Amino acid sequence: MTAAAPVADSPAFEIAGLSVAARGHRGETALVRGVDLTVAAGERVALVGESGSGKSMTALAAMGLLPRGIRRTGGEIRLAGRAIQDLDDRALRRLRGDAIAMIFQDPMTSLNPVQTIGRQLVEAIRLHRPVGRDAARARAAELLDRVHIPRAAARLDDYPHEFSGGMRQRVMIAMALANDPGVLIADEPTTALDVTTQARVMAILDEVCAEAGVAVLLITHDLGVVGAFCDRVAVMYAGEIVERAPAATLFERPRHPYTAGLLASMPPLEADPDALTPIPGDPPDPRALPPGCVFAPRCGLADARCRAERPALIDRDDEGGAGQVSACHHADRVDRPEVFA
Amino acid sequence: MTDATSQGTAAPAPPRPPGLFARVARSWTGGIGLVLIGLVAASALAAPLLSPADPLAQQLSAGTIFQGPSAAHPFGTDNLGRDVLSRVLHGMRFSLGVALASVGIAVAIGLVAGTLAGTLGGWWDRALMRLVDSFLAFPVLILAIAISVALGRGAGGVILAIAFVNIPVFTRLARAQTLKIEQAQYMTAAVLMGSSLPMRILRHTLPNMLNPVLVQASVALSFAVLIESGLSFLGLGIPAPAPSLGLMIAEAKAYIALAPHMVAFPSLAIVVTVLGFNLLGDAAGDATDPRRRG
Repeated sequence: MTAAAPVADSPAFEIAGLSVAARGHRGETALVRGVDLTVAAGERVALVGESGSGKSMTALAAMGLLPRGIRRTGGEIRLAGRAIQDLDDRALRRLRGDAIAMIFQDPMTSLNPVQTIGRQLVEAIRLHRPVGRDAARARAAELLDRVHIPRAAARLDDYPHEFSGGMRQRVMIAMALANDPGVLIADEPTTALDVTTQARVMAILDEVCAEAGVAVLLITHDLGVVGAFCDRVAVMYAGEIVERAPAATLFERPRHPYTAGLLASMPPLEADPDALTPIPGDPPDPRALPPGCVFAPRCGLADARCRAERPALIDRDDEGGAGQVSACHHADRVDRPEVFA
Repeated sequence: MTDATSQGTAAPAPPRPPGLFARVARSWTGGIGLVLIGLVAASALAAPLLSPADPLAQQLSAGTIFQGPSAAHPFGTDNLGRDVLSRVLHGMRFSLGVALASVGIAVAIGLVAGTLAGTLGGWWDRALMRLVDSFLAFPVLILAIAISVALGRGAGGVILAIAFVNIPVFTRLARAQTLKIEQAQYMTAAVLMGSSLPMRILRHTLPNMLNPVLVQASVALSFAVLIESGLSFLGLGIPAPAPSLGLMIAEAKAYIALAPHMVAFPSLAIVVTVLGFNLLGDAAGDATDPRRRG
């Protein structure tokens, strides 16, 4: 793993060498191994990977909310240069919803059904700001208006079931941005929504994030969302980052066969559906990782070296891709998938 | 854009679905239950005003004891010439008071214990649940009799005995609801907002378990009335001259052939009260269970 070069002015959000493991009957199983990721203020970075690749574990570890039986075994989480991974519960509570906020997948159950939207927004504000009820309510109306909820002030007294799924996710966005956090982690924010609503929610997220200048880490498996929304992309596979690149570069010229495989399995609008190429095989069992490259068993380019020697994340700048790194012995042989030609 | 226009400005906000009370009142059983409980509660509250006579005043003469229903004594008189209607009204007052107090105590203790067990988990949860299970294994009335005997006669003993047999039920319910609510995303969202555990319990866990607890409470109230009557019938309730429905039936059973109204009217009062709470509980259960919603 190449350590991120130290920078003078620290980025808004930084994950350095993060490792996460689950305790089992026979010792610990590494779920996330040495993940490095930085997000600058105002920047949007996507963390992409299939289910079980460790992307959600990375997000939970960043919030200090790993489930029971799973723990961080190494690495640092930094907010504006300040390491937060060893803070106690009280200090973390002060950061959550204030300096760092998170929205996640299912907007249908993310709001308490027995409380009005306004009350929940007011609570989110007053948890971190010493403002009165009226001031918080005014702020709540302003927040709803910012995510384009029509007649925002009037709708504060409505209950969650009176909002559609897309509107609920917009309320969650408003709530997450209530205290002007420096960092927003969005874990599959639109997966549970239908396509038109998805586009609308992403457009609003785009707008409010730009206004607030917040650093966004978007966790998703939807490359379509990534292309439209993100500046940079990190691709995760089997608990490791296998490629990191500016979004445009990644789509144009992937330098890891797994990334190429992901792009090839993405349904394009005009192409023949038969041109869709799924990646053969399944992700490896984290308890029995292959000795060499973790992707070798599913990779068309794999040779003896790949099966024996784990490739490091290597800078691909010399090959013309600025800010692109990938972990592949055969990066120069990775083809851009046919469907995008 | 489509989202906003179709959901927001163009169409008026959909009507709020009716609350638990409205849904209960709309169903047949719930409506009847509400009427019955309303009648019982009103007559219990207004017992001193509605009673034609002092429930304790005796009129010992051949013409005034064991009298059947008449204009002066709508429910007749008993073996000591006391007005049965007045005694039934005051007895209902006592029964309802005992039932409300005992269920209130059981709800309060059960919610705290169950919510803590569900939230904290671990050995506290396991120990408490085994204790609760062992109490649930006792027949309710036997347990109540045992506790009542241990605590001695009087309203306090009866209330505590009935409360005690109900605590395990509410503890289990609160624990199950807590575990269910813990799984909800709004709990995770609250953590992510920086909300503390006590805050989450107050703002999210307790309000979200209100409906099932209310349903259980109305069922528990009907049992409480039955247990109170049972204890009084056995002589474990309040001491003799005071009017209690169970005690009245116990006294009346010796004269059942001579003055059947002495048994009939207190029994009817118990039936109406228990039926009311049962119908209410049934309807409330239906209203909160989406699978049974008509």
